[in-house]
Amino acid sequence: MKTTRVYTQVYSYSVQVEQGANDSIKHFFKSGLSTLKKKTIKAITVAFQYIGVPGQTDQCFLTLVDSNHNTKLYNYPTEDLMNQTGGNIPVTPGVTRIRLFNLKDIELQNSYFFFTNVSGPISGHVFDINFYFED
Amino acid sequence: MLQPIIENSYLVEINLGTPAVQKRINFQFVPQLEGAQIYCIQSFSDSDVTTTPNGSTVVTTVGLAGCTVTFCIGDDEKLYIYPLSDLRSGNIAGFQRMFNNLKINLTKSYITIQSTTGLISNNSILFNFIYRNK
Repeated sequence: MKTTRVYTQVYSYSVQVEQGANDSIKHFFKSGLSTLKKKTIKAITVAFQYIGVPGQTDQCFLTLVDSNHNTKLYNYPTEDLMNQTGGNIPVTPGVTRIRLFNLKDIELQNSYFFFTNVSGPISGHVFDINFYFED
Repeated sequence: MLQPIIENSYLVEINLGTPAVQKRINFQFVPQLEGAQIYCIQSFSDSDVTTTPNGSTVVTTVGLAGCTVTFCIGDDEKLYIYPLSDLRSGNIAGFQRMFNNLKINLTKSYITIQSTTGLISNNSILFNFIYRNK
């Protein structure tokens, strides 16, 4: 995959869900909550995803909210952010382009993931999401 | 081909109900998109996203190919019977189809079912609108 920009600052968040997680529950970010404050997200990728990939039924959506409580991304499908070069993806991703963003001052404390059609209770490490950002 | 730089996005769902040829289904009112400048529109099939946030099953890729969308600017049908397949990133090398800052009158805009092949009752079509506020 070719990308036209190189970002030196990356915040990689490991999405962990608790035992018994199921449909339609918001999973808020739990660590690094101030990392993206006063920063600008320029790109987002998802790697090592074992739910929400094409051909599997589990689905995940991402909502990002800024410090003024404006919803910047609303239910963005994480599958669309999948990095083709990210490790151990079991099937060929349908999307092969890195998604570019311009998201300022994101408040992770108010941002969350939303799962649907979970085939059974899931727990533990679900996937990694990488935020490439600038000051 | 250029890619959009995403400033805001909003996922919108249209439920098909019982599919029938030439059936029109209008978009619901979405306050966040009212007066917004929409510069990219994306659709999905069940090959990309299996289930909507509301829990409905997303249409198949074949079903999506049988549907078109008409977007109104004011009262004018500016994008007329546009094939939904052309808005699906998986069909266009992973890109997102870009437009020129459309101020879409969403409640007058509608999808049209041209063919019911591959469509199942109560399937939903998902649109991802990428926009900036005025």
